[in-house]
Amino acid sequence: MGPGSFPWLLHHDLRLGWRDFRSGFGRLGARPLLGLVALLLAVMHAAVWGLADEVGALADAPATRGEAEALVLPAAGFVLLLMLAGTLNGATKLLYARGDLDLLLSSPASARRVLGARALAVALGALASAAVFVLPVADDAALLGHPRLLALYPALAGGALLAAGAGLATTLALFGLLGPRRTRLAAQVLATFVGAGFFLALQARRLMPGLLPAEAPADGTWLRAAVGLPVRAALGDGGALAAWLALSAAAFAAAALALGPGFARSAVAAAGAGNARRPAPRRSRSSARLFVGGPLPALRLKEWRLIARDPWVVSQVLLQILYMTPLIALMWTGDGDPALGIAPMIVVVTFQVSSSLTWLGLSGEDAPDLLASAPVPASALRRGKLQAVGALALGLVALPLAYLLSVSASAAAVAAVLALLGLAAAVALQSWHGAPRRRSSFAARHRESKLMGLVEMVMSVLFGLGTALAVLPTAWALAPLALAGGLVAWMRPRRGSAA
Amino acid sequence: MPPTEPALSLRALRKGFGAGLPAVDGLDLDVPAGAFYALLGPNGAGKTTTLRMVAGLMRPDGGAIRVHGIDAVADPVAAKRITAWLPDDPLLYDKLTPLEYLGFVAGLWSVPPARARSLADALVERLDLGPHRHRRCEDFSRGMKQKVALAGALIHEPRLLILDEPLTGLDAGAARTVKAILADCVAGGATVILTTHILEVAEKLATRIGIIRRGRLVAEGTAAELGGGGSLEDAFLRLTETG
Repeated sequence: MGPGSFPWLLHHDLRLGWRDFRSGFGRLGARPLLGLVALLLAVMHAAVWGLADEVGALADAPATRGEAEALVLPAAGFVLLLMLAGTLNGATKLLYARGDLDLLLSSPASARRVLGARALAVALGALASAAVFVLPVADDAALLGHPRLLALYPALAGGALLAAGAGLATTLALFGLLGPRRTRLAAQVLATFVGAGFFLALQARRLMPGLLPAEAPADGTWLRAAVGLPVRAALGDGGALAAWLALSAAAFAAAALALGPGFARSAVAAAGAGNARRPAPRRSRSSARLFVGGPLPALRLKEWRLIARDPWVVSQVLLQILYMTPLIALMWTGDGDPALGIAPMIVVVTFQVSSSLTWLGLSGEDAPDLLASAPVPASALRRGKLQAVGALALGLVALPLAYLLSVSASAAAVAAVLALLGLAAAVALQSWHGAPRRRSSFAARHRESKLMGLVEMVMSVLFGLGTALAVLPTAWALAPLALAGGLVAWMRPRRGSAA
Repeated sequence: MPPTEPALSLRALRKGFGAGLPAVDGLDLDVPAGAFYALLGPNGAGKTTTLRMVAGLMRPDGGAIRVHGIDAVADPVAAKRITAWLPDDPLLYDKLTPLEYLGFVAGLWSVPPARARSLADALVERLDLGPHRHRRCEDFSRGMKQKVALAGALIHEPRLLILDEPLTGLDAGAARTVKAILADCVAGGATVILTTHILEVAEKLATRIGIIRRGRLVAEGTAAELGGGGSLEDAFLRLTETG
C-alpha cells in the first residue's frame, strides 16, 4: 500500500470516518465501542430471526417468491433511500471538507485517484450504516437453512455503489445549478428529505390516494423489471444479481471517473465560495427596529433572527413535524377520534422542536465571549434564550392546540400539560448535557452525542405513547410518562460529575 | 470614587491550568485612568489569561481585580458595565448585519435605543462599514469582521477598553483607522489596554508599556524608559529571554 496509492488514500478516508464515528461516543475506548457494536448486531440478529425465516422460506420456493418480493420491496426502497441520503451528505462533505481537499488536491496524487478513493469511502459509509439492519436477515436466514438470502451481501454493496454514484452526480448537478454557496445547504436539505422520503411517500399515499399509483407496476413492463431488479437480486436470483451489480458498478464508476475532474474544479470553487460576495440588498431597511432597550429583548430578537435566517434549521424543524404525520395517520384513520392523532403530535413536536431549539439557544452560541463579557448575569442570559426558543416551540403547536380545543377540551388540556412537560424535559436535558458549539454544528449534534440522540428518540416515543393513552383515557398512560420522568432523572448529572 | 483611582488595578492575581506552572503568577499591575497601555510578553506569558480575567470571562484562583475601583471578582456585572473586551479572533453572528449586531450589543449593555442608533451610525461610518451595514457578516473578510467587533466594543462607550491583538488581520488602511479610533477613545477619557506582538505599535501608541513573563510583571514604563537608550525590541528580548 504505497503512499499516494488508491488503497492508501482509501485507508486514510476510512480512518477519518472511523474516528468521526468514534467521536460520537465521547471517551469510550475502541474495544468497548466494538463491544457495543457487537451487542447491537447480536440484538439485531435476534430481532429479525422470525422475519428471516419467513422471507427465506418464501424466497426458497419458486411458487411463493412473488410474495417474498412484495414483502421485501418496501424495505428495499427504504434502505436505498436511506443510503442515498447518506451519500448525499457524504458527497457534500467531500466537496466542502475544505482544508482536507485543498491539501490532497495540491499534492502530487492524481485528483481522480483522490476523489475516487473518497467516493468509495462514501459508498462504504452508506453500506456500513445499512448493513447493521439488513445483513442480520441474511445471516439468520442462512443459519435457518435459506442460504439464498446471503445474496443480500452483494446486493447491498451494489445498492451502496449506486447510491454513491447518484449522490455524487446529484451534488455536482446542484453545484452547477445553484452555485457553491447554496449547494451545501440544498444538498443537506435534500438528503434529509430523501431520508424521510419513504415515510413521506407512505403518508402521501395514505392521505392523497390519487397521488401515487395504488398498485405495483404490471408484470412484464420495464418499470416492473427495474423496480424489481434489486429485490430479485437480494432474494438470490443469479441473473438479477449480476445485472444489479453491473448496473451499480457502472453507475459508480461513471460518477467517480466522469465527474471526478468536475468535482475537483467544484471543490476548488467551493473553497473560494467564502470570498464571493452576495449582491447588496436593494433597499436599506430602517434602523429603528434594530435597537431595543434591554438585554432580554435584544437576546430574544437575536435568537429569532438567527433561527429564521438559517434555512437548514428551519427545514429540520419542519421535517420533525413532517415525521409526525405517519403517527397522526396511524392513530387517526378518518372515522376515529382526531384527538388521538393530534394530541400526541402536539406533545412530540413540542418536545422535539424544543430540544433542537434549546440546543441552538444554549449550546450553539457563536459569540460566547461577547455574552460572557456583557453586564448581564448568566442566569438572565439563559432565561432570555429559553424565552425565545420556548415561545417559538409553543407558537408552532398553538394552531393544532386551538383546533384540538374545538374537538375535545379534555384532550387539549392533556396535550397542553404534557407539551409543557415535554418543553421542560427538553430544556433540562439540553441544560445538563449541552456542550458549547458553533451553531453550524447543529446538524452534527446527534453525531457528536449519540446518547442524547437516542434519549431524545426514546423520550419522543414515550411522550407520544403516554399522550395517546391519556387521551383515551386510561391509567396506563402513567407508565410511559413515568418512564420518561425516570429517564430524565437518570440523565441528571451526578454530584461531582461535569454537567 | 476618587479621580486618581486607577482604571485597572491587579493585586497578586493568580490563575493556573492543571498541574503545570501557573499562567498568571501573583501579578501586580496598575493602569492609570486615561492611559493607552500596551501589555507585552512572549507567547504563553499570561497576557490573554490576565485580560480574560479582567473582562470577567474567567475567575482568578486568587488575588484582586479592581476596575475603576469596582471589585470585579465580587461584583463582575458592575465591572462589565464599564468594560469592553475585544478578543483576537472575535466571533460574530454570521447571519446578522453589522447594524443588527450593534443593536444586539447595545441591548446587552442596556444602551438607550436612540443613543445606540446614533452611535451605531457614527461608528459604521467611521469604520468604513457604511456600504456594508445591511449585509450579513457571513460574507465579510477577517478584517471587516474585526471592525464590526470593534464597533460592538465601542457602542456602549466603555471607560475601559481591553483589546487582544486588535490589529491582526487588518490591512494597512484599516489598521490606521483602528489606531486613530483608539487614540480618540483615550483622548475622550477612556482607558485602552491592548496586547500586541508588533512592538512598533506599542512604541508609537502606548503611553505606558508593561512587559510580563511567566505570569509576572517584569518591567513597566514608557517606551523610552524601557529602552534605556536602546530600542524597545532589544529591551523586550532581554527581559523576556528564557533561562
